[in-house]
Order: sequence, then structure tokens, then C-alpha cells
Amino acid sequence: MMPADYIDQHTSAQVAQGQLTKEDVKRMKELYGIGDSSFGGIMKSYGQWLSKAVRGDFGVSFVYGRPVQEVIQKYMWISFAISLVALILNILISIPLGIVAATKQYGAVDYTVTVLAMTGISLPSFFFGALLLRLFSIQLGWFPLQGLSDATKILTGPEQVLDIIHHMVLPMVTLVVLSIGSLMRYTRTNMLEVLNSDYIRTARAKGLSEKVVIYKHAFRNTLIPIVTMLGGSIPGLFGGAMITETVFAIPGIGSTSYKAILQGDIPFVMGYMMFLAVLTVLGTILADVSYAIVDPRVKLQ
Amino acid sequence: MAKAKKDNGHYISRQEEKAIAKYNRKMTKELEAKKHRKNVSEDTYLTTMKDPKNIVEFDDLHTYFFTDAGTVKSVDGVTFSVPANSTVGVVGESGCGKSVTSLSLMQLVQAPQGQIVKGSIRYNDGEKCYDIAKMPSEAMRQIRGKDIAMIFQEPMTSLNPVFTIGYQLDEVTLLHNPGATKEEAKKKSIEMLTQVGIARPEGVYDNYPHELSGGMRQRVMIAMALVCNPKLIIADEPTTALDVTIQAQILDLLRSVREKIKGSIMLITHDLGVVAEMADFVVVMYAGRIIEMGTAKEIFLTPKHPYTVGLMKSKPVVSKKVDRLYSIPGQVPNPINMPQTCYFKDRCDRCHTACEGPYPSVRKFSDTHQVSCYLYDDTNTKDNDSMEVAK
Amino acid sequence: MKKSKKLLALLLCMTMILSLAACGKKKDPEDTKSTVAPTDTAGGEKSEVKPDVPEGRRDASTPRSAANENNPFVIGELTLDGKFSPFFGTSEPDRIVYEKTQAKLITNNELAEPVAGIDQPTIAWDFEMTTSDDQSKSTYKFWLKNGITFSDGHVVTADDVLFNLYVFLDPKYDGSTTLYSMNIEGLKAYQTQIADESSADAKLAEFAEAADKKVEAAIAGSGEAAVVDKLWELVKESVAADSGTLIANKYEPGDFGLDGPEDFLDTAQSSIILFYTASTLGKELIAYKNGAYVIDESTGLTVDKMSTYTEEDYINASMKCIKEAMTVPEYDEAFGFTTVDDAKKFYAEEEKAAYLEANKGTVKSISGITKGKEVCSDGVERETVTVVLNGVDPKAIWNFTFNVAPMHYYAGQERHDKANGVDNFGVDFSSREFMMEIKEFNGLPMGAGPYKITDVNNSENPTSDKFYENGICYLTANDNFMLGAPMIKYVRIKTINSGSELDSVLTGEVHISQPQASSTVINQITSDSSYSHLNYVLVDNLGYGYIGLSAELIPDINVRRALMSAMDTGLTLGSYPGGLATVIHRPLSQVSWAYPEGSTAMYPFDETGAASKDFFLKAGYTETADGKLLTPEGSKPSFKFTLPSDADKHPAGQVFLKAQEVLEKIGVEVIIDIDQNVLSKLEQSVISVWAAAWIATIDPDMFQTWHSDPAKNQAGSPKATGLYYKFENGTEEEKAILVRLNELIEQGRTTLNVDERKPIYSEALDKAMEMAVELPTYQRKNMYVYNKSVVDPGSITPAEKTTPYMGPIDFIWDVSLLDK
Repeated sequence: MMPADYIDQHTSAQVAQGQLTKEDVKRMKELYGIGDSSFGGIMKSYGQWLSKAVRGDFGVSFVYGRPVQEVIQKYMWISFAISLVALILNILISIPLGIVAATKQYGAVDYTVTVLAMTGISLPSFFFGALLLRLFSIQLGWFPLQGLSDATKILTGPEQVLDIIHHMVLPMVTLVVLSIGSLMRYTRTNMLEVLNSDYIRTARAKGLSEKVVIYKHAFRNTLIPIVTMLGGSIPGLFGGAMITETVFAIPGIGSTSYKAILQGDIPFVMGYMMFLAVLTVLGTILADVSYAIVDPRVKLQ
Repeated sequence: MAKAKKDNGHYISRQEEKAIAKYNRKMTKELEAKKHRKNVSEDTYLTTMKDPKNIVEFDDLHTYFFTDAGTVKSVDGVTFSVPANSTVGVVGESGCGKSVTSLSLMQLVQAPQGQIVKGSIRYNDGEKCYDIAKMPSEAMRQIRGKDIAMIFQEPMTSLNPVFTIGYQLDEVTLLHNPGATKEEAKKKSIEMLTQVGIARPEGVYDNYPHELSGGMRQRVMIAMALVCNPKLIIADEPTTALDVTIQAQILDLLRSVREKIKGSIMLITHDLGVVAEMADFVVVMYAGRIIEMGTAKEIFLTPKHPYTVGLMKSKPVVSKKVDRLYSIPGQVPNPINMPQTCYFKDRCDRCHTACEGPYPSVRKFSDTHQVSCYLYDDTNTKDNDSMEVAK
Repeated sequence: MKKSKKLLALLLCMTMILSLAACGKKKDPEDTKSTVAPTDTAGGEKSEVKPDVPEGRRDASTPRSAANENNPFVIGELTLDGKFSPFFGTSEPDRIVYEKTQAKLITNNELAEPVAGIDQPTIAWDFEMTTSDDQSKSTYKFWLKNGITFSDGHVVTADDVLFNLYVFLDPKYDGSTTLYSMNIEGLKAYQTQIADESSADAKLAEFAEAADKKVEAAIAGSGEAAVVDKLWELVKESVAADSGTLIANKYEPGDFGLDGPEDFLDTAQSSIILFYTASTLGKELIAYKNGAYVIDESTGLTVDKMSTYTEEDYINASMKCIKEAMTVPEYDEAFGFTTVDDAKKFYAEEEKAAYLEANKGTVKSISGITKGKEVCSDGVERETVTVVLNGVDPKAIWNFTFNVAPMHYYAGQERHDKANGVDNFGVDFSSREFMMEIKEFNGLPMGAGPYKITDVNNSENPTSDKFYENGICYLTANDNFMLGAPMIKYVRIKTINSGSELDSVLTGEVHISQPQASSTVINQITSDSSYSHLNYVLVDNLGYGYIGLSAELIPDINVRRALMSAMDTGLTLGSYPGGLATVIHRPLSQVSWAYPEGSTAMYPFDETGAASKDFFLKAGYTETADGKLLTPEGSKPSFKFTLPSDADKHPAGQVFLKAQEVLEKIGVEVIIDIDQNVLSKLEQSVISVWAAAWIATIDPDMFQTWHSDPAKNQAGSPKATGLYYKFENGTEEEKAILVRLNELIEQGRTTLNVDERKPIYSEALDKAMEMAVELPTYQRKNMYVYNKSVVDPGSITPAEKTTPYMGPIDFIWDVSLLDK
């Protein structure tokens, strides 16, 4: 996996200065279950982990000191909340823009949309996040710099909620701006394809107004691949946006897992990978099912 | 290299490209604006028919496509009429402009590239006469689907896959009959489905298009066209995509439909057999212009234009044995840069010196039969009427 | 498929996702443990005896100022791990959080002296360190204050102190406190459960003997099959390790004197182990002749299947041949491994672990740790805790600065009631489950410190998720704190991103943080008006940079001195402009009391190269006509300097570049190499010159880093600097220096008296410099930035008392906020 070893990292300074002996380090490693690093030892450890994992026990995280499920659960909701809102905003902005770009192809909106999309996709998140912070937080002081809530005040009930929303604005903007590009383009491409199809011509031939043709007939068909893509991405929302979370010091699952990986926290990383794998499978299932619902041509067996 | 230079048809330089784009933008902007103007009074597009017995009169129609490679003159001066209670067959090769003619009639030409540039299309709805070429799209929508209906070539893809058949049929009723309820629409739809010969209309009503066969889908298309009792049905190659047995059924259906609705059918096809069976009048198009037209009998028994002759010869006869099937040599000229001479010149086996001249004018053989060819100069061609009409 | 069925499927999917998210929610231990107010546990004396708190102690009845009562004080820290436990916390930010809830047994003052007392935030009222006359034992005695309570009202007793000790010293303790490295009398017996300590060694020898017999028997052929298997398993591991090394280092048959094809590395690299085995066994197991491979059938492999064989196959084949050809000891001899010894060690460990399991409970306590009661010099009776160590170790006192955490809370009321401080300390011996129980409280620290945990709504008993929520830890004042009810009622620690420390204070998100010290920051604070509400404090860093030279790879002491004379340590300051670092001349942190004031460079930098040249010549180098030097062997001198990162980025980079320039003048070549992993390679004695930094320890004892007798010291760094090597193979001059140095080091450890130790270390540091293996370079400063319009600058640690051992807000209970 990685050459990082949790115990080695944490004891190297002490070992170099002689405060801990090699035997002490070895004993520590035994206690943590990572004593035997030969191939056979690793396989044995994996077997032990697997037998416990199947029963739902993913062990205790080295770095965070609590059972892995607890740690993941604690942090994933924040990430999920931010990602979900960002996703909804993303949909609300991208899809209408994509449709307009497609229907008025080569018009002003189309070009603006394309440029925006390319910019959004190419911007690195840490750069954009830092830029927003510099402008809106430090210079203008409109939004807070870090974290999810204001520690300098005592707040009650609804104030707390407003405070959290206030803190979420900049990270949300960062996430949304970076992701609208692709969804917009995707919608536009799909829309164009659909608009060129025969049944749209039939719809027009029936005498339907352009609006109905686009928003009812064309839209439903455009939506099919989009819905499946979005449905499949819902479980991914729990995975967190590592860089954005770090820049804004938001304690989400992304930055949490990054720290754990750097320090060689094996139980956490194994548990987290399992978590991601399960999410991916669920996402695929969700995408398949939603595809079946939206498209009457597809049958669910 | 030298050959390529001469045959410059496929290479465009940057300046040319820019010039073309600029020109395209100008033209399309103008014409689109005209199409989309709102709140115009009817007077701007009311007119009178030359012959009140016609339903549609095409008068020097020019429909161009403004593409990146240049202007494609799909329909370049087409004049003919569709009388009431008759079937007009429009024949020609692929790319001769027959579909575009019908789409022009419906104002369904692919915008913004395709535009009706010149000419008029007069439509007689019994009381008033509209010039479709001048109508704004808003007004056109009242007619489309209601008085003039169209069925298309590809039944497999012409129905929206996410809506049921019933929904798509009801839509027509609900659209053109404000105040109609859902039950009324459903009743009408099922009535139409029965009329086109579908066995279980209630079942089919709830089906999705992918659950029906090609033939059934085409029937549904026809039903959709019939919902509002149109005066004219345009059938754009309705049987090309179907197998022969179904073809016969659909054609029978069309015939019975026409009798029932007492309207006209404009049948576009490249299959001469279909035309012979169905059409009263035949219009032969080539490269965007009509080269010959007349009654079915006239065209089939006495074709005049070498192209028409060639078409007749090309049709294989089942019982006859031949060594080699006949085909007209050569190809349709490049639609962007059409020559000034007769379009068929390079392929014609009866071409002579006179053909080097400008495009031949119309020569009439009878009230109904006319042709554009230099071969028939000695007939009374210098008819002033014809000259005006066929400019 | 009907639409409704599809919707149902979709619903099922969403339920699956959400239930996955919600699964595994454990009940917080808080729910099951009670936190009822305590009953009298320590007998009746509580109500009569005065608590040991300062006169005029501020208590809860004194109202706070408006700002202190209503406005939270926010401290900015880097990301928290969430292990807020005095037992198991590992990261520095976590420590900052939980130590606010804790009180230590003894603590240090700003001069790094150990202190305890009524005016100190310690559980100990006083302490005493004594040594026996023959230096064989040292005794540490602590008197505990009366009437000190934890934040929930339970009284702190000697039993609590013992509880903490026994947790730290338990064999299954895996936290970062290293109390177990102290040589406490009776500790070994306790940990091995062998009552007689002297017989403990004998017992261990017994295990070793039994293990030896087992292994020998197996080798001779009369032993257990499992042991034989284990031996061969170890052999296979060694063979596999060999294979790995051979492949990683791209060995070819030619390296063993055998023939191989040109494209060996691309086509058959995994077979290299077989070639190696063949050459060592002296048998032709595999060969490459006339363009084709030939494989001996004894390997069990065939040539035509070569393309399908994996490394594993070749290893197995090698094993097969080895097994047939030799015994395990012969394998060790031939291949240079210590399989037999490894096996013996393995079985000895097995015996020891088995014995421990079987004999748990034989030794119930550590004989060197006792508690008692005494009447003190002021006539008041107090509890005492005494710890006896074998030998004298001046560093040991610092192990007693541990936090005294409550037993009833961490081990449960049941264990607390059973504990008596004599043979039951509230700890389940050597029990993983017990440690797990303590770890349950990793998110909910509690102790006798100035603050206690709360949550955003200031509730009494927060859950761990609420205490540390959204990256913020919520604390509220513990009005029972021994030195007084803290001035500020609400303290919060907020997570900020590294790099945003200054900006966070600027925008007001936090009130104090620690940005990287740099002159740009200082300039901004002092001159930019938008920063006018900020103030900064500079503190020396607890550690220093140095350049190391390996005495093993550069054996001549004069050559080392020559190289040092070409290094201008002042150039390191370039990385820390604006007075944010100083040069140091002895290998010890400047802030320590043992650093000899006024010491100067032992090998002053000579830019012309003349000083270096002199040393080189003393080392036997010769000079050519144009002033360039040659080694005694007559070749051009060349040295490799290694940095862990680019020369522009590393403070010592400029020093190396300049040295390269200077040495070039006298014809000596310097190659500067960049190697990210240089620090991990040091012990392998492959790096001749490198730059790194030490973290300074609070005690100046030099044993681990400078004692060069390998019989007495096995630490890693004298190996890196080559001191062990020199101890055995050095010149007379060098050996003399090392012997004297060792003497001094040992002397410095015999007494606990600072004044006696100072001159010893002064000489020892000089001796160390004479060896020319470490050139200290710089010590930089750290910076605190705080918002002086929120925090009362008069309430933080005054400048003269601010040292690396006492930060600005270390006495958090005295810090006060300004009313607006």
C-alpha cells in the first residue's frame, strides 16, 4: 500500500534520540497488529481483518483512536451535506443553462456557457478556494475564513443554523463552480442529439409550440442519461472533497481520510476503502434502477 | 495536384469560409426574424388562389440551406399544384429536393440553416387562402397538425419513446381542440386507432412505441395525422422503411383514408410502382427543379424528359430477363455550385448543342403535361403564361 | 415492468444507502456510566482539612467581567485527531485540547526546572529527589495536596496517582507516554510476573535454554515437526527477502560469475534467486548455454515452462534444492542469515508469553512504588507517593509530569471502589479489553484541570460528537480548579488550515494562533494598519539544526575539521530573515541551562580555504604546484553532501553551496546530492555528510546521542555519526577524546544537582565539538499572534517569562478578555 508505517512515523524521533529502544518499537507494533511485515505476516493480518470485517468490526483507527465505523460516520455527514447542496445547486444551474445553450446553438448563451464550462473544469480547487477566501473573507470580510461555525460567539438554535449556512457559502461556491462545467456540457450535448431526432420533428409536425417540444418531448429524453449519471453519483457524495475541505478547514471525511492515509493508519484506510467500494456498488445499482424507471424501454429483471 | 485544383468543389480557403459564414448569418438572421414576428395581422399573409379547386399551390418556391460550405439550393424554383380530392406523387432521386418541398409546406425546414427564400405557397382552407411562405410560425402552428398533417419515413424513430401511444395521440386532440377533456381525447384516439386497422386499440393505447412493430407504428403515425380531419396529408416515403407486404397494407390504408376524409394526399417517394398505384398526378423533380409533370397516365405511358424515360427504363420488370440492369449514368451535380445550363446535361443521352444554352424553359404538351427540356423546342413553348409561371 | 415496481426498487436502494450510513452507531459510554456527585470515599478528613489552595483564591462567587462571562476565547490549532485522552493522545493539537482539562503531578517552570507547590497547577504539594550513597538507587517522593477535586467534585487521592502509573506501566499499554522506559524497582518483575526479579533473569534464561534445546533437537532430526517447519519457514522468508533484494537491485547472473542473456532483466528477472542459490550451493541448478537455458531437474522446474514461472516458483525451487543439500545451520553459514538464532528467539518469546498468561496475578504490584501518609513540615497530614528507581537518571524526574486522570471516570466506579492502592490499583493487568475500555473515553477527557468539556449549547454532559463538533472543541470553566476559577468562562479550540494561521486572527475567527515566524508577517503586523489589532510574541524553538559528518566514512579527524572550516553556519539564517533564528555553536538547544554561554565556533569559517587546507595537510594530503590538494593516495579529493530537499529550500543548502565554492578553490570536489530518504539511511552508515535537525529534550543528558561505547549504548545516532566505529577503530587522539566524553556523560548522570552538572556539560560539549562529527547550525524562533483588542495583553505570560517551556497562554486560567 504505502511505505508509511504508523508506529515508525510516530516513534522515529524518539528512537533516533534513544528514548525508545528497538524492542519497544517492536512491542508497539505487535500491540497494534502490524508487527509481522513479511508477506506471510501480511496475509495473516489480512485474514484476521477480513474475518472481523465481515461481522462489521473494522477495528480501531490508529490515528483517531475510535472504531473505524464511528470515525467515518462522524465525518461523512458533513461532507454529505455540503456535497448534496452543491449537487442540487449544480443541477438547478447546469441543466437549464445546458438546455438554453443547446436550443440557441452558437448564440451568446452557448458561447458563454462553453467558456464557463471549460474554465470551471480547468480551475484547480485549491486555487479557486484560496482566491475566494482572499477576496471575500480577508479583503471584504463578508464570509468567514475557516470551519463550519463561529467559535467566538455563543449562539442559540436558529442562529446556529444560520451560522453554519453562512460558513458553507464559500466552500459550496467552490464546489459548484468547479462542477457545473461538465454537467452543463453534458446536458447541452444530449439536448442537441435529442433535438435532431425524428420524434421531435413529429412533435413539431403535430403543431406543438417550440416550448412544449423542448421542455416536454426533448427534455424527458435528455434527462434519461442525466438521471442515471446523477443517481449513480449520490453515494459518491459521502466520499468528500478532500482539497476543498482542507482549504476551508472543514472536518469532513475527505480531509480525515487523507490524514489517515499519510500516517499509515491501516485499519482506517481499509475500512474507508471498503466504505467507498460499497458506495460505488450502491451507486451503480442506483443508476441502473433509475435508468429503468426513467426509460420505459428498459426492463428490470 | 492539378486535378484537385480544378475540381475545387471540396476545398474552401479561409477567406471564403469567413465570407460564407458572414453571408449565412446575415440571411438567416433576416429570415428568422421574419418568421418569429408576433402579433401580425392576417392581412400580411392572406392571398387568393389561382384556381380555387386546388388545395395547395407551389409558386416558384426557393428553399435554400445556408451551410458552412456554401448555399445549397435544395428547392430551386418549383411550381405545381395539389388539387382537392386527389393524390399527387412527387418522385425523384435522393437529394432532389422532394422532402424539402413538403417540409417547406409545413414550415418544418431545419432552421436556422434552411429558409424559404423566395416564392409563395398558397394554401386554401376552404374559406381563406394563406401564403405559407409569408406566415409567421405562430400562425402556422394553428394549421400544422390540424389542417395539414404529415407522416414520415422512419416509423421506428418517429414516435417519442418515453410517452405512451395514447398520450401522444391525445396530445394532438388536446392541442387543437381547446376545451376538450381527457376522456374525449381518449375516445377520439381509440377511434382513430380502430380506423387505421389496429386490432386492440385499448391495449395499444397504453403501449410504448418500442412495444409495437414497424407496421403498427406507421399506422399509429397515420392515426395521429388523421385525428383532426386534415385537408391535406403529406406522406414522405411512408413505406420505404417497411417490408413489401406491410407496404401494400399501408398503401391500401392510405387510399381508404383519403376517400374517407375527402382530402388530398401529397405522396413523396422514389418508388415508381407506388406512384403508379396511388397517384393521380405525378411531379418529377431533379436537383431542386421540376423537370416534368403530368397525370399518371401521361407520365407512365408517354414520358418526355430523358430523365423520366431513364427512370422508367430503370425499373426492373419481374418477368423480363436482361443481361444488365439499366441505370442512368453519372451523378447529381454538386448542389452548391449548380451550373447555369440544364442540370441533366452531363448524364443525358440525348444531349445536343442547344443544351449548352441556359436552363430550358417549360414546354407544355397538354393542360396537365409539361416538361423542361430543349428536345421539345418545336412544340408551342413560347406560351406567355408558362414563361411567367416558370421563371 | 410497471412503473410502481420500479419506484419501489428505487426506494429500496435509497433505504440501503441511508441504513449503511446510520449503521454501527454506538451508544456513547456516557449513557451507561453515572456521573452522580461523589460520596465521601476518603474518610472523614475532607470536611475538616483545609484544601491546599493559594490564599485569596478567586472562586465562583466572584463575578466575571462582561467579556469574560459572555465571550468565548478561541484558540486556533491545526487539525485535531480526536484522541483527547491523557493516556492515548498522540498529536500536539490534541494535547493542547485535553491538557486544559488535566492537572499534572508536577510540572516545569519557564526555566525548565521541575516544580510543584500550592501556587503551581500541580497535584503534588511538594516533591523530593534523593540518591543513595552508592548511586544504586534514587528515590522520588511526592506529597499530594489535600482537598483537590476533579471537575465533577470527586477528590483526588494517591490511589488516582497510582492508577495512572499502573496504566502507563501495564504491558498492554500502547500509548505514547514512555514511563515504562524508567528502570523502576520491581517493574520487571511486575511486567513479566516473575516475583523474584533476580530470578527473572534466570527465568528468561530458562526460556532461552528451552527454546535452544527445541531448535537444536529439530536440527538434529529428533525434534518436533512444528519446530522443523518453523525453521524452514524462516529459511524461506530469508530466501524470499534475498530474492526481493536481488530483483530490486537488478542483479544479473553475471554478478555471480554465471552466464546470462543480454535481456535477462526484461525476460527472466524473477529467476535470479535460482542463479544465486546455484552459485552459493556450487551446483548447476540453472545455466544459460549457447543461447538457451538449462535447468537441472532437481529444481522441479522445466525450461519450456519458464515463461509461466513467477518469483514464487523460483523461490520454492530454491527452497527445494537448499533443503536437499543442507541443514539449516549450514544454510545460515552459506547464505549469511541467522535463521537458527531467529528461531530460538521466536520460541523463547513464545515460552515467555505462555508463562505470563499462566502466571498472571503472581506479582500484584510494583515493589518500587508505594503510597503513605505523613505529617508535613507545616503540620498538616498529607498523602505521599514514593517511586524508587534502580540507578541514577537525572532525566527521570521529567517522567513524572504526567497528567493525573480520575480513576472512577476512566476505569469505572466499580473498579475505583475495589482499588486500595496496595494490591489493587483499578487496573486489569495485561488486558487488552481494559485498555479498550479506557479508549472509550478518547473523546471525553476529564480531570482536575482549569476547564471541562461541554458543547456548543454549554450542556453539562456532552457526547463526544458534540464536544468536538464541526472542527471545534468546546470547553467551559471548571470553577473547582485549584488555582482559582478561570477568568474566561468559555474557551474553544478551532481547527484552522496550515497556512491560514495569520489570516484567521486577522479576520477574527480565532484570537490566537501560531503562524510560521517570518519577517513579512512581523512587518505586516507592525506597519500595516489593517493589522493594527494584532500583536506577536517570539519564542525560541525547542530544537536546533545541525550538519552531521560520519566518522566512519570520513575517518580522519583532521579531514572532518577541514570540512567544518569551510562551512559558514551563518548562511542558515538566510532562511529565517529578520532575527528569527540565531546561530549556535554547541550541539545543545540554547534555551537549556546547560548551554555554555558565550561559546564560539570551534572551527571558524575561513572563506579563503586556508584553514581547511591546513587541516587537510595535517591529514596527510599533499599540495600540487598550483595550490590544489591531492589525497594521500594521490587522487583528487571528493566528498558527497546530502540534503533531504533542494538546496534552495533547505536552510543548510546555502551552507553546502558556499562550502562547495570554498573547497573548489583548494581543489577539493564537493557533490551535493538530494535524497528524500536521507534520514532513514543514516543508520546504515552510507551517508557521509548531511543536514538535519534535532528536537531538543528538556534535560541536557547526552547519553543516547554521544555515548560511544557500544556495550553500554545501542541507540541509533552514534551509529550514524560513526562514534561506535571510532570507539573501536579510532586513532589514539580520537579514542582519548571519546573516552573522556563518555566519562563526562556518565558523570553528568550521577547527580541531580543542576549546578554540579553545568560545568560537566560545558566540557562535554567542547569534547563533542572536538570530535568534529556534528556542526550545530541554527536555532529558529516560533511565533504566536494574538488579537490584542480581544485578549488583554497584560493577562498573558509576560515577555521575560515566555520561553519554549512556557507559552503565552499556558496559564490559561489567568488570561482575560477585554471588555469592548
